Amino acid sequence: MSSALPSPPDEATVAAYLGNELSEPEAEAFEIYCLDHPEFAQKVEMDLCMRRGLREIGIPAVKPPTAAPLRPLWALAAGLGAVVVCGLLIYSWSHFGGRLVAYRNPHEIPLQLRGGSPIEVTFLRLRGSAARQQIVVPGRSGLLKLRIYPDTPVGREEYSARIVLDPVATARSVNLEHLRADAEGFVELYLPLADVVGHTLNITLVTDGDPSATTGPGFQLQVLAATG
Amino acid sequence: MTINEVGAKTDDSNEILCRRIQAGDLEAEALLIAQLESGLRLVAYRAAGGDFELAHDVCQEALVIIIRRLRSTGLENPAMLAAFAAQTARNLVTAARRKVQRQRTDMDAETIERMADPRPAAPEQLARGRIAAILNRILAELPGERDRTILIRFYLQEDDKSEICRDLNLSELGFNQVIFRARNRLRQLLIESGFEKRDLLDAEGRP
Repeated sequence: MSSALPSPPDEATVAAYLGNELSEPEAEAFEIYCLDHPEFAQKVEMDLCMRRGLREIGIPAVKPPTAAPLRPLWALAAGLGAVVVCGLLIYSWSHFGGRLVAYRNPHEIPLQLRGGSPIEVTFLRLRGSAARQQIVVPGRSGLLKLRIYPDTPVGREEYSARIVLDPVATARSVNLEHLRADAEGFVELYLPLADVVGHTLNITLVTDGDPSATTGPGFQLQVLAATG
Repeated sequence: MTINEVGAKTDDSNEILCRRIQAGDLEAEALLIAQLESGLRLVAYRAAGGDFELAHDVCQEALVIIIRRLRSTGLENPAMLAAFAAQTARNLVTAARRKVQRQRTDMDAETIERMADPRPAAPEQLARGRIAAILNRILAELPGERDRTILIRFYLQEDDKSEICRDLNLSELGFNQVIFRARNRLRQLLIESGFEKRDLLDAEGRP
């Protein structure tokens, strides 16, 4: 039977243990240390869960920044051309067509859009007040989180949301089904800011499975950018 | 309780704890569970070859066995409590494997086909899914891209801490803060999602 380690194992040892790279006596000594030091064991356990969870998510590898090698001029020109073409494509896509994207909850949001807290707008119509809002956001990156209180809440049923971007100019839209109200009765959804900055959104909630049963006249949100 | 400089229970305190449990002190049993739980799960997880669900079950079963032993005859040498606990968990994993092997020999072709399914069993899948969902939530809560990169490189790519700090121009303190926050949040969310709320002794029938 192995004896316990005299001092806390360092991070390299923890990593080796979790990677199954310690010899059997070393691993057993590590485990005895964990059994004698519950706080340390908890940290190791959380590290284990972290590794497992990240593997399950299937996140692509993150490459460390490396010094960029010098490139020939033609490569630079080609790169610039590609950037211009991409810019034009993105501009035409965002202004003249394409599907609008929205997410029901944070778990659906692609990793590249996560980062920082989303900008949150709450819609709650009070005594017939107009549900029109205008917000100014710092930029085009990140997410817009909408919290909407249905005009006529329908208990625990699910809702569908229809969001139309600039109804006259572009008519880009998205339908989100199976939205559930949270404990406070609000329905939440997320939109990439890049898609909505500079536009006006028309948002309508309906009861799932009954498109005619709108929960009110809808809400309107104009999203302006502080810069550009 | 005697606590040494690294937060560990000393041999003395193990002896006191064992004696209290033998005297029927339920609070001492709770302290013992808190002390051994995480470590036992780690022991069982490795012994079970990474079977998370089996590790959980074995941990619970091992705690029941250890407490019953301490309630009845106690340990000859309470200083060896950790070693006894670890060996109990390993024995339980071995027994669980033998049981599965025995069952396999009696199965018909259809059952064998089912056993050969490379996908994890339903509870294991569930546990995986829950951890992945929690990790997704933690990643979504992180304040910036840099923190995400730290977690992914440290835990997924298993890059060296000093290398990550150098690449991201980050101090060791800054790195530790990100890891510390993520660990704590993960623990909190795991507890919230019921991972550590299995009724241990009630299931076995507390006397």
